[in-house]
Amino acid sequence: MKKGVVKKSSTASMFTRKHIGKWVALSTDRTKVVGYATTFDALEKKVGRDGVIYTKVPDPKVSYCFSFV
Amino acid sequence: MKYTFQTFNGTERRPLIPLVLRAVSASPLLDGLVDSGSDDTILNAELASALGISLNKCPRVPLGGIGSGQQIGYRAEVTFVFEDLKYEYTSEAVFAAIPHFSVILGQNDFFQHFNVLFEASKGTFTVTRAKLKS
Repeated sequence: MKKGVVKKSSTASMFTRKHIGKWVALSTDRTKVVGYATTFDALEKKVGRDGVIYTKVPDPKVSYCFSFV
Repeated sequence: MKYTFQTFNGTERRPLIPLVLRAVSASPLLDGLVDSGSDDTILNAELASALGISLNKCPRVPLGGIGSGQQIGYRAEVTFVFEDLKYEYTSEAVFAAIPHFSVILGQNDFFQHFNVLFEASKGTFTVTRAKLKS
């Protein structure tokens, strides 16, 4: 019987501890962190809107299942 | 359109697609998590002011998850613009305090407008327009 093995991605993290839980602006090709801030408004003031995609950085130690507790 | 699962720390895989939200005003480009397990589309409450939406004027809706607690969200109409997919639609979504995500695209109404094929073993997922029932 064939055994299934899931390869773990070797993608190096772009994010460090300071980014966790923050709003982060990435370059649209997702290769660079352009800026980060605690709030959406602060990040928008800092980096503007051109050539970026806004995301939030979840905690890598947490397995998310979208509980609203 | 085929997308690659995004990996932020090298272990998890998340199906994220870019979108813009529009109401009174528009958001910048945002990441949306494609989440077939979510009944509604949930928007980070911090985005409301950027969209010109006053949450205290919106109907309140209870939100539940796998835990025992509930949170209050605020329902409002928003236009979802997917430039990659050359498509937009307007529907109600729920603004809530979701500290770790910006947009969660759920059954209502993302999955009514799009078919999604997850192929995690290949590291990709495909989003195509659904035929809407008339």
